[in-house]
Amino acid sequence: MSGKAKVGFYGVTGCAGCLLSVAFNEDEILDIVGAIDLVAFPFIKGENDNECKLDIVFIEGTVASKDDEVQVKKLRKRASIVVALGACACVGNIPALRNYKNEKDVKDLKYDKREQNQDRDGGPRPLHEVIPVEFSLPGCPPDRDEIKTFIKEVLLGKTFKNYKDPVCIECKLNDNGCLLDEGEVCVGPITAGGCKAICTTNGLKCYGCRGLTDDANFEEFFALMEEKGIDATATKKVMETFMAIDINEKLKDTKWAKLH
Amino acid sequence: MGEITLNHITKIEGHARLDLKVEDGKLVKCHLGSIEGSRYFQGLLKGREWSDAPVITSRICGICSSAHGVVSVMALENAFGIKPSKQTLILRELQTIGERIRSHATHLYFLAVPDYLGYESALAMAPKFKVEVARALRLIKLGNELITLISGRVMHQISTVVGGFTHFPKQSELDDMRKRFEDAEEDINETVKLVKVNMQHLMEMLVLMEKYFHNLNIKNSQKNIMSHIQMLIL
Repeated sequence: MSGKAKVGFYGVTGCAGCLLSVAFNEDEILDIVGAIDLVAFPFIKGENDNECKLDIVFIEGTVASKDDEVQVKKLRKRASIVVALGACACVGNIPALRNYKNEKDVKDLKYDKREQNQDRDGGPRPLHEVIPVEFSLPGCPPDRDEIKTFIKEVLLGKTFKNYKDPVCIECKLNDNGCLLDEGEVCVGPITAGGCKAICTTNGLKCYGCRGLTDDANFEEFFALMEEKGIDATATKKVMETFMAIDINEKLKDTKWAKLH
Repeated sequence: MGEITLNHITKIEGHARLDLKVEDGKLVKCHLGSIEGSRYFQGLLKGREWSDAPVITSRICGICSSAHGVVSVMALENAFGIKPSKQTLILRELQTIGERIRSHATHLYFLAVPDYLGYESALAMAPKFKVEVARALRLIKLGNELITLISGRVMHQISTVVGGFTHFPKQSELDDMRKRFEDAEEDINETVKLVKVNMQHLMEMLVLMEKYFHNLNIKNSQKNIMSHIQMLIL
């Protein structure tokens, strides 16, 4: 990159929390903006160049509507590096649960739909299923420090690497007791950490917002939960909360495939 | 006759568009539409464990996730007939107050004020309005830290659950937070002043807008704008 990197921050169907996680680096946001050429951030900027080439684009949200699909494909064409920002963009998050729900249950509510927010065919999907993605910053919300680290490293030309160890590692480093021992369906053992085990440290079980570890052992996890008296359906439901697509993909040829 | 179409309104949370149509000097169409993709939260809650509900509903919005999370907890308590303790109610109130401080500071300084001062964003204001932007970030941080102290994270609450909390702030942390709020009094007063000063501009604009709206034949527009501004100041 010659000169400052041209950077854009965009959101499709989501909650704006990931974009806020960038802006809520209160002590560093002005330095971050100073280090880049921020050409688009429609959430906090009135003037946005929505046509120019981008060195890096951060995209928040699940690709859920027809317009979302058009938007992300256009961004892909404009950008050298596409970053999936947050759980919706990385793994589909809660909106992706719809892919495994009875259509009637989900759509019995009437929405006043316009051309721009018609549901896309194929359901809500994470970014990488619609366009190629170079980097992922997982989490719901994504970790603010990790966003800073990523921006720093990518500007310096370093290769950013995702944290891949399970949440349990950081959880133990924080001296927490194990929520599994308390009978909670804590998905920490099969979920990638890097979140500082923030939920379990504050007393809430891990729901898996950062996606699966590379070597998630489902057999052992289901067995462990059954040992605690929790049936496989209940276990699978918790596993699905944030990463329903990956869970159902991994379990498709197993005895747990049909559990809902 | 003229038409104004804004496909994507900027400086708002979410996605919206605006269509205006003027015929013979009269506004004949004013359509503000949400073009947000649908997520069908109500349907997604069906068949889930009750304890999952606040975790799911807080994800409706990152700006006001505490509101969505806390209200979900309250609805479940209502259903179960649980009366939370006074301490629980106070802590929840603190969490939502923190969110309002953060949210109002963000809205005011980042989404609204730049328009009144003639800037495209608060970031563009930063070189000339260093003091104001620094103040905005301090207030946002103050609200964020209060939310984090009570609920575990700046958004998408962790420790706020049905019946109470899974984690509590230490007395020393609450004492520090009280001190921070006392120290923030000047920031808050200066923020009120900033809005009042810009009110002057708004007043002048309103006189022009009254004529404009009169021409456009929209009844009660000025009254609505005035009450909106009064709400902002209060």
